[in-house]
Amino acid sequence: MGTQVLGAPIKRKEDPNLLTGNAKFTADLDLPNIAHVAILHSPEAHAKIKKLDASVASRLPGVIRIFTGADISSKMMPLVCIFKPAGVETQFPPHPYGVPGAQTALATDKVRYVGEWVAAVVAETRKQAYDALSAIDVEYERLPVVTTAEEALRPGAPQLHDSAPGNLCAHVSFGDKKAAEDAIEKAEVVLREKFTIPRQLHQANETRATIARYDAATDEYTLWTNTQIPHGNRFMISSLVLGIPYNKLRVIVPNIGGSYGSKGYLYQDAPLLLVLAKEVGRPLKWVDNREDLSVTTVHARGQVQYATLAGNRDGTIAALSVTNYVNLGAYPATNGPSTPSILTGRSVTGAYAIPNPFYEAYLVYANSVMLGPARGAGRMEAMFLIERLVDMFAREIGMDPAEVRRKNMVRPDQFPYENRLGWTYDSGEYEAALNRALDMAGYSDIQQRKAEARKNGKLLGIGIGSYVTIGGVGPSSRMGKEGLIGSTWASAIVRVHQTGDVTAITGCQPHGQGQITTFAQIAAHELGVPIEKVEIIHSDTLGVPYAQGSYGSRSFSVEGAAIYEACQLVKQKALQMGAHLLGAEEKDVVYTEGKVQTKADPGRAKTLQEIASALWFAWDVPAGMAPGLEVTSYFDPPDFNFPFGTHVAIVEIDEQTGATEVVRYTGVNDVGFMGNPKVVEGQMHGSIAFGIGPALMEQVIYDENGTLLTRDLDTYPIPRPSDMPEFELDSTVTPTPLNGMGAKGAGDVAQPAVAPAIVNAICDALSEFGVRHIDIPATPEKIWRAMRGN
Amino acid sequence: MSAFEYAAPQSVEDAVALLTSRPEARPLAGGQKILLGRNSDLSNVTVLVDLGRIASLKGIERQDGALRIGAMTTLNEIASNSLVGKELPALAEAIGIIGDAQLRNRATIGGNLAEGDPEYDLPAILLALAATVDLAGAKGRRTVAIEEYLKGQSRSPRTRDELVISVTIPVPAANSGVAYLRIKHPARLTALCAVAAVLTAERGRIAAARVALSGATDHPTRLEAVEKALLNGPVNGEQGASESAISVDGIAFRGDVFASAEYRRHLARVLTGRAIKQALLRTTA
Repeated sequence: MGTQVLGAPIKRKEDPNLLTGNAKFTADLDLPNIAHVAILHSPEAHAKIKKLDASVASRLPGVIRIFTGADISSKMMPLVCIFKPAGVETQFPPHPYGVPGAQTALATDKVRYVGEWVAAVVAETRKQAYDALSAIDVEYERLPVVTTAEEALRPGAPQLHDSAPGNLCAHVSFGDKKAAEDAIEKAEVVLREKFTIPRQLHQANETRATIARYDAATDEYTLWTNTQIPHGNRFMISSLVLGIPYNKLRVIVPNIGGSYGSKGYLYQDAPLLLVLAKEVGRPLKWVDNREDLSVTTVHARGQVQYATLAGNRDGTIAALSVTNYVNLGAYPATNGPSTPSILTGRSVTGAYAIPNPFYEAYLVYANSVMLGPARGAGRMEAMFLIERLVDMFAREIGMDPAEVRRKNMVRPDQFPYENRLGWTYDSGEYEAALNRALDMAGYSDIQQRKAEARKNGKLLGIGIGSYVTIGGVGPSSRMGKEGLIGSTWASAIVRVHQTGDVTAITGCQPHGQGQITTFAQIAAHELGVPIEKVEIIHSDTLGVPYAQGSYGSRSFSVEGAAIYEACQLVKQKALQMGAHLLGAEEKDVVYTEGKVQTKADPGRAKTLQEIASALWFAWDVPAGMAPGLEVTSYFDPPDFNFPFGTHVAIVEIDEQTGATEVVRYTGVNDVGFMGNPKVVEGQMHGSIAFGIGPALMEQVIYDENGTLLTRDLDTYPIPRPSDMPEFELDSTVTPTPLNGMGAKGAGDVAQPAVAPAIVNAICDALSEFGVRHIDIPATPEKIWRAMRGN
Repeated sequence: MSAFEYAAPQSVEDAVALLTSRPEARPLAGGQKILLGRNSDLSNVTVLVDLGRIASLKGIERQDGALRIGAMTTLNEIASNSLVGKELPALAEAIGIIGDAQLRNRATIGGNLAEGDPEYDLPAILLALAATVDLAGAKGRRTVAIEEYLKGQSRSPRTRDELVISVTIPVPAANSGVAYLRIKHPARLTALCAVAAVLTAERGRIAAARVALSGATDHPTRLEAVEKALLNGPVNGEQGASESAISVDGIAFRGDVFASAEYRRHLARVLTGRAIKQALLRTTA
C-alpha cells in the first residue's frame, strides 16, 4: 500500500486513545484553583420573575457567589442568531448591534421556556454548587403558555417577545406557488396529507461542558469547550456578546463524545463562564448532566407539514406543495432558522424531477427549548415527506412504489439538475442505486415472504426510502444570499518540514468522523509520504486559521478538499524547486511517489524531503521563489454536493400486539469518491441508528403547561444494539465535479432515508387494514390502534 | 454523589444491625438502581451497606423439592446455573431476558426484588412459581409467601427493617409447563407488560394454574379470574387460550406516555393467552 492510502479502508489513528480511555474530554480537564458552576433552570414555561433571593443559598458551605441576570447585564450582550432568512420580513429578539438577537445568558425579567437559565452558582465543588440550587428562592408570576407553532400564530395567543408580535420569526417560501396550484388543479390524482414530525433529542454520550479561564495579567480569556464551531464561538463571543478584543479569546476543543449537531451552536455557558471567571478571579468549570441536557441543548426536527402531491394515473408527479409550521423555541438558536427553511424547504423534491414544487414555512416562537439541527438536519423531514407521499401516491393509483420512483427520478442525463426550489443537484445515478437496493432486499419475491410471515401471526411489509441529501456546505456567497451572517469556505495550511514531516492544519472540527485519519490520508497520498509522517492540527483557535467547523456533512468534501488543493500547490512548488535542484526544465520533470524525477531518467530524482530541506536552508532558490514549503489554501466550493441512495426496510408486525421488528435492512449509498470506505461505513451505521430511533421510539413530549416530560434516558428511549436490525450496505460511486477528489458529504447523509423506509414498510404491512399513514415514532400502540381503525 | 459511609459486613446479623440502627442506611447489592440511578437516589444515604461479603447470601441449592437462591446471586448466575438448567429451565429462560447482559451480570435476585419496582420482570415470575421469600430482621428470621412480601412492599415501599436473605422456588410438579412472555419497555428495558404462567396437567385436565401479571399495573398481581377459568379445563382445548376467555376485569391498568391503560390491558390479555398456550404445550413436553 505504501503511501497510496487515499481510498483505502485503513484503521483510524484516533481509536487507540479513545478505546483505552486516554483521550481527554472537557470534563476530564482540570486547572489549579478551579471552581464549579451549577445553573438554576426555570421550572416555568412562561413567567415573570417577581423576586429572586439567593441570600440563603449564598451562605451554604462552599458557595463562592451566586449570579443573576441583573449581575451580568452590564457585562454581556444577548446571544445572537446568525441566520436571518433572506428576502422576507423577520422578527428577532433585540441585540444592541442590530444583528438578530437570542436569549440573554441569564434571564432578567422573564422566563420563556422550562429550562431557561435563571441563576448561576459558583462553588468550591460541583456538588456544593448543585446543592445550593434548591435554596435559591424564586417567585414566578405565571403567564399563559403556548407550546405549538400553529397555536402561537393564532390571534390572541400568548406573546413571547415585544419585538415579534404574532410570534412569527419569519415566513419563507421557495418555488412558484401559482404554478403549483394550477398544476394541482389540473391533475388526475391529488393527495392532501398532514405529517407531524416530533422533536428529537440528540442524547450524545457526552453532555456539554465548558471550562473558562481569565488571566488578569494578560487580559486574556481561554475557553475549553466541546463545540463543533470553535472559531464561530470565538468570533460571536468576543465580538457580539462580550465586546472583548477578538485576539484576547482562545477557544480549545478537547475530544468530543458525540454531538450530532447538538454541540454546533453558541450556548449561554461559554460566554457566561468567561464573565464569571473574571468576576470571581478563578477558572470555572461547568459540566451538564443528562437530565438538564434535555433543556440546555437544542432540540431537533419538530415540524407539522401540510403537503399536497398531485400526479397522473400514469405515475408521473405533476406538483408538490408544502406548508410547514415549525416551533423554533422561545428564542432562536444560533443557526436555528436555517434547518426548517432552506434545508427542508429546498430539499422536498427529494430524488424526483417534480415540475411544479412549492414550499413555505412559518418559523414561530413558542414556549419550548430552542430548535437546532440533528444528524440529517432538515433533510430527514424533507425525505420523510416526499417518500411517504410517493408511496401513498403509488397506492392510490395501484402502481408499484418502486415503479413510481423510477418514473419520476432525475435521470443521469439531466445533471446538473435544478430542482426548482433552489438546489442544483451535481451528479447522480438514482435509479441504479434504487435497483441495486431492491435487489439486495429481495423485493421481487416479497409476496411469498409475506405469506410465510402470516402463518406465524406476523404482518410483513417492505418499504423504500430514497434520498438526495445536500452536503458540503457551501458556497459562501450563496449562503450569504440565503441569510447566513457568516461564511462557509474551507481553509487549510499544509507545511512540509525540512525533515520531510508534514503538518496539515485544518478548519474542520472532528467529533467522531475520523478526520485525523482521513485528512492524513489525503496529504499522505497526494504528497507521496508515509501517513505516519503526517500530523493534523485542529481544534484550537491559536494557530489554526479561521475555520468553519464540522456539521452538515461538509468536512471531507469541503475542508478535506482544501487540504487536497493545498497539496496540489505544494507539489507545484516542489516541482519547480525539484527541477531547479536537478538542473532540469520544469516541463521535463514529474512529481510522483513523493519525489520529483526527470521524465527521461527516473533515477535522477529529488525526494520531497530533500526539496523541503533545500527550501529550508534557502541557500540556493530560484529567483522570485520564497523559502520554505508551505501553502495556505482556501476552498470555497462552487456549489453544494448531493449524495444520494436508497434504503429498503422489511418489517414484521405482530398482528395482535403491534410490536414491530425490522427484520431486514439494506441500503445503497453514493457519496462520490470515498477517502476511507471504512470510515464512511461507520458513518452509515451511525446514521441508520439515528434514523431507527425517531422512526420507532424517539419523541420529545411536552405537556400543555410547557413542562418537558422526556427529561432523561428513562423517559426518552434511544435505540440499543438489540434494537438495531441486521443490515447490509453497498455503495455506488458517482463522483462530483465540484472538488478535486470527486468526494461528496457522507457523515449524516443517509439518515434521512431510514424513517421513510421503515414507515413505508409498516404501511405496506398494514395496507390490508386500510391504514394510510402512521406518524413517527411508529410505536406498537400506534400500530395497534391503526389496525383497529382508531 | 453524596458523602456517605461504606460498610461491608461479613454476616447477615451485622448487616441487619447496621440497617436497623442507622437512619437512612441503604443496602447495596448489585448497585444497578442505587449507583446507576439519579444522584438524588443517593443524596440521603448515610451508610451504604455492601452485602457482597456475606457468603451465606450467595449460592443456589436444592432443598426439599425447591431451589433456594441466595439473595446476592446475580441474574446471570441464576440463568447459567446447572441446577436451575436441570430442574427449572423455564426460570433460566425467563431471567435470561431481563434487561440486558450487562445488567444481568450485576443485578441480584434479592436486590431486584427488594427494589419493588412494579415494572420489574421478577415479581410475575416469582408469583407464578409460588416462591417464598426468606427475610432477616431485628426480630429474627421468617419466611413469607411472595404474595405477602409484595403486599407488604406496596404498603410501605423499601422497608429497611428486613433484609431479603434468599428466595425459595418450589420445583413445579411433573407435567407442569412454565411460560414467561414480556413486552419490553423501550426506554427502561423493564416490563411494559409481562405475564408468567405455571400450569400443571393431570389426566388431561388442568389441575393447577398460577398466572401473574407485572409491569402493566401498579402492583404485580395474580390473575385469579383467569386461573379459575382454567382449572379443570382440558389441556388440549382451545378455550383456555382464546383471548375472549381471558378476563382482566377489575384490574386497574397503568397509563403513561409509553402505553395507555387501554393498550396495556390489551397486551395483558394477549400475553396471557400466549403464555397459557405455551405453558399448556410444555405440560406434555
